[in-house]
Amino acid sequence: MTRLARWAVPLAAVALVMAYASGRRPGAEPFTETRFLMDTLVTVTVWGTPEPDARAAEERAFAALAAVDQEMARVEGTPLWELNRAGGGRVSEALASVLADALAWARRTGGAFDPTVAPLLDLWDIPRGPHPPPSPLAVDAALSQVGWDRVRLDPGRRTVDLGRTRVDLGGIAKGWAIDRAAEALRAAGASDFIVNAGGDLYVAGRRGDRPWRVGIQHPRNQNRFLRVVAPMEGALVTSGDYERFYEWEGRRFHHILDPRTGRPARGCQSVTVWAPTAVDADALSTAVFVLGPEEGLRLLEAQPGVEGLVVAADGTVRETPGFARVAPEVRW
Amino acid sequence: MRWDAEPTARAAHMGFLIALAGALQVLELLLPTPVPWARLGLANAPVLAALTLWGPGPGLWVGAGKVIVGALFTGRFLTPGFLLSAGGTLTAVAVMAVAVRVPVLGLVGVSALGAEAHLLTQLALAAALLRTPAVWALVPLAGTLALASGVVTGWVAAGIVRVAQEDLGYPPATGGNRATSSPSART
Amino acid sequence: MVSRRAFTPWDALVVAALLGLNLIAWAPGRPGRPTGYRITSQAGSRTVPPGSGRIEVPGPLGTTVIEVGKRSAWIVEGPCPLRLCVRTGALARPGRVAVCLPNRVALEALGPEGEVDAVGR
Repeated sequence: MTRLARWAVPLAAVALVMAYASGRRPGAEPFTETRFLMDTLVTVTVWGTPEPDARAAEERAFAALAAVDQEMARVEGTPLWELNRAGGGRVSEALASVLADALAWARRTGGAFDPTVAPLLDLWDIPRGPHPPPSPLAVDAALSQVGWDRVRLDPGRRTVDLGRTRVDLGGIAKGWAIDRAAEALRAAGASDFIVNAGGDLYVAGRRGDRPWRVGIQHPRNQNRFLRVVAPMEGALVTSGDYERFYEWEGRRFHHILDPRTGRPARGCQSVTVWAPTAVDADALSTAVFVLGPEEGLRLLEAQPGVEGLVVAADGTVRETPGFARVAPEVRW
Repeated sequence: MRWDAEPTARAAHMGFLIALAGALQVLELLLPTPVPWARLGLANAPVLAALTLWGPGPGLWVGAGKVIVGALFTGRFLTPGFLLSAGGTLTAVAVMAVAVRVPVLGLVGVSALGAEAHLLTQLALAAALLRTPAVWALVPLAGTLALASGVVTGWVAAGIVRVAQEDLGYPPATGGNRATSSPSART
Repeated sequence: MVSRRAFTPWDALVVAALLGLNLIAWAPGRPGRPTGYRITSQAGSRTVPPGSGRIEVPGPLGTTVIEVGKRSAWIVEGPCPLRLCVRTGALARPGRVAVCLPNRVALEALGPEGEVDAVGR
């Protein structure tokens, strides 16, 4: 072989490899739309369908979310608002379904999740901004109005008697809405998508030739992820003490209240729950947060088909044995 | 037998190195390791030896043999891991083919350069295949391990070359020495 | 017969240089910088390039002020009571978001595929 020939083979091979590595495969980009809904930022991402179809599918998803919002937000004029004002009444199928789920979860969690916490939420009024926390007397007064077991729901006739409680569905309606949005996307033909409502997710399918990658926010460091996972098809909902809070005289008061004490739950920094439906993941993440790491993990392990990860108040991370199976970590 | 005893002697020696490289690669792939790339890389020693004795073309043959035999015997043929391994070996051979011509460098230095090229190519391919730049964070750790294995491999390659020279009569065909490799040139 | 040496002083130099290269040049990792920022408000959303400077976005409660630098962007001021948007700090990687919910303003860092497709929070 001539000297040139001796070089030609390896160099050609290297060039081939480099060309392959640097050549970007013409992959489609996912189609994404973001809107303000349900008092949060909602992003719907669809992969694999051509843009007009993805756009249409997302319109249906947003319509589904808006419909739930218009019915179940605790804002003047909505059916939920009217229900609270009247102390009971007849409700739509959707509202009856969510109320039934909420009461069922309240029972299963021993009241750690409780939809009747409206008086407490109004008392603490986190969205108002920094203000002196309510007095113990005021908290007790509000607490006396809380009790999920006072609510009577007739699923057949769809009538409700609130038993002088007032209902806030913030801890479960968003999950329910996400499930409806996912249904709408599937009905429109999308099978690979993410519905992201303020950090509560439903993940379906894959992003082309790789799985969707989800970063779980680190509860104390904005710029880090606790973990990056590739979740199985289903919902991944996180409750954290960093989402909505104010600080007063050095103490942080956040929006996840313990229905049993009337005060913000102090056992955890954040809780992430995976479940096949977002409505369950939503209710459970709230309940586990309230219960704290020990009882919360026990609750998760007792529920079939759900897994979770808890960051305790001291920063230690614990998870259910199956969490790594439904949300395997993506290292690189 | 001596390298110039029969025309086929050289082919036989090269075949031996290919087999050696393949066997070492299989052995290493089957050993469990804590970190994916923390392998000893001994399979590269025959590759570098072939490169030193006969030139870049034969070096590439032995490298290809190492990768393909290793992949076939461990069921990784044409997997993404195979592509990483193949890409890394190709670049390493090219880099070492250049480095071995630098007179002042010993085989350890050449091997170190090859190991670095091997790792960087693997990371570049991984970053492209996975579509994330996050893999580059591995360089400090994996790179140090690769250099260490490169030093060891270079030392072993030098041993193979020395055996070839002392027992089989090979002069080195490359590396700033002008000895030829064709039997007919010897007088 | 010329032998091929195993180890020369130059080899030590090469190994040391490569070691230094590995530890220094690559240690911080190479995350991509945002290539732009998407600002979403009730009026819709638009994309601005890095280095756009100060941007004021009106909303139902007032004006949210955003600063878009060369390497990151952040919300400077907001009319909201909780100031969570400001507390989010600078967005330096694609995919990160800062939101002023009461004023319906969101700032999102865009770029070639960030590390993740969505953030659970």
